[in-house]
Amino acid sequence: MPSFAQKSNGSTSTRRVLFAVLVVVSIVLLILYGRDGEDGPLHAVQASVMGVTSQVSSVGAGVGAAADSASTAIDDVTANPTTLEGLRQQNEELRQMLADMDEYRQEVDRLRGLLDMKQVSAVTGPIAHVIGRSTNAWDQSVTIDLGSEDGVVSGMTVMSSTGVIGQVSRASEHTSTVRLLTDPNSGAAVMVQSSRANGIVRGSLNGLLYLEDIDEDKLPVEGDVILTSGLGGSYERGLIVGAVASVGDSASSTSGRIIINPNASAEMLEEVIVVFKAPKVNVTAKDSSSAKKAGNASADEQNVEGQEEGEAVDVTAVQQEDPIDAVLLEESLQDDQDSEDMQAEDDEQYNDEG
Amino acid sequence: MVTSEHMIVIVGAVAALVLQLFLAPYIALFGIVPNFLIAFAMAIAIIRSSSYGCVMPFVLGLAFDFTSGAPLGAMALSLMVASVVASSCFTRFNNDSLFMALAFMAFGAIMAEVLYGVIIIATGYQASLSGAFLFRMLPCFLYDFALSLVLYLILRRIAKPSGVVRTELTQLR
Repeated sequence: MPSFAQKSNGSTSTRRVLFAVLVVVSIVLLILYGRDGEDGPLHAVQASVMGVTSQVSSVGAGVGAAADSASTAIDDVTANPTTLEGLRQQNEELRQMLADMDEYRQEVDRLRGLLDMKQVSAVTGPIAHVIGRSTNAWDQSVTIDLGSEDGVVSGMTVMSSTGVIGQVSRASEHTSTVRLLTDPNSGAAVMVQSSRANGIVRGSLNGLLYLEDIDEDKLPVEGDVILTSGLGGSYERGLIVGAVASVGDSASSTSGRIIINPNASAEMLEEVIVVFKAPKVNVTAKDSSSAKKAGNASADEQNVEGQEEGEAVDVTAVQQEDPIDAVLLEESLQDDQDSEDMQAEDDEQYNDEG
Repeated sequence: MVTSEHMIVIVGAVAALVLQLFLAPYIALFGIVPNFLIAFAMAIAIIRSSSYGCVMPFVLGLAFDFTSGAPLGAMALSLMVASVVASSCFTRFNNDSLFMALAFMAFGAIMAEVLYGVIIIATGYQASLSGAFLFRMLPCFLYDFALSLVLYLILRRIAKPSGVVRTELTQLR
């Protein structure tokens, strides 16, 4: 019969072997996962598991409300009981109704904001509810209740009522994961609305958005609106990303920092738009005005609808109505004039060569 | 054979996973999501240091990887290595003081966070190591350690191994 010391040694060596085996298994998994494509089997299994867990994870949303209720209950207990007795009974129903009404009102406000944004930026796509948040501190993402069965595919742009917030990184059957712009792994090709300078907006671990790779001669100033440029094809073109919050002293150098105000944080998101299609010609002068009224100037390539149809556009008339629109309109006309001139030059050169 | 002691650990592990999925995202502070799995694994690693195995942290870590979208194997490896090392060190240096238990629990928690961070940066996460340490590893460690402290105080009453001291009879003779 083996002694305890022998048993103990045997158990220790078994543990060591098991530990070594599991370390190897972990490393092999990491390597396989790294080599596995987005559509690979490991990613597919992970997406399925995440799809299942995220559908029920919205249960946790009640935790915040429960904490508030607990706080109110403690306040009630510590107050004068005789005074509260009558009031509690009388107000119980009213409070419930008020809470319900307030909830509905807030939801209506949020949905109205989303509809305004859809109208202003002329995008098409369904509205989705945010049903879960990331369980991992390293991952800034949210889960929405639309999946591949609803037409959502990986790479689609996602907007809130104030603009672009990220893109779909993974779509399962009924749910999708949206990686927020503030995630360090996010990167969006953008342009500064006023100077048309191109750059890249990246997220960071501290939750801020940084504008990088921008032309030194065209540095933005505080308040400049940043739009998606559509370069690289990862995001739809002409959608608002945010506004420049600050420009560092050494913004032109590689260590320079241009900070963009993000559109929303994961904690505040409840409904979002999944952009199925964004128009090529985004904003007319009229639309731009609506965008301002909605609180955000919308994105655009600053093409003018009337001009496309060959109609003359009266800048002065627009200026009287809205000076900001007039500036946009003049820029637009100038851009189009420039492109026409370049086209004419090209044609001339081509004819000469011919 | 699954004993009642094992059952306590299994139930605790499942509870930790459920809390991670359903509660952790909603109690995040400044974007820092706590990790109940690290907290639980470290508490158990210290409480049951003499009989602590590597299967439970591996399975817990793998479950986390599957449900969080992280690279598969990252948390499994980090949690297993950190908790086994913390448990072994504690067994060696244990002097029955609360300080040592907390010190090794903290050591395990920060080791798990740092290992996990290093692995995911190595697998393509766009962040510098210093930034990741400052903005993720350190705050996450503090949150995890606070949780593991609470769990330790609760679990040491119910998950402590039975106090039977097995002796080698031949040595006694």
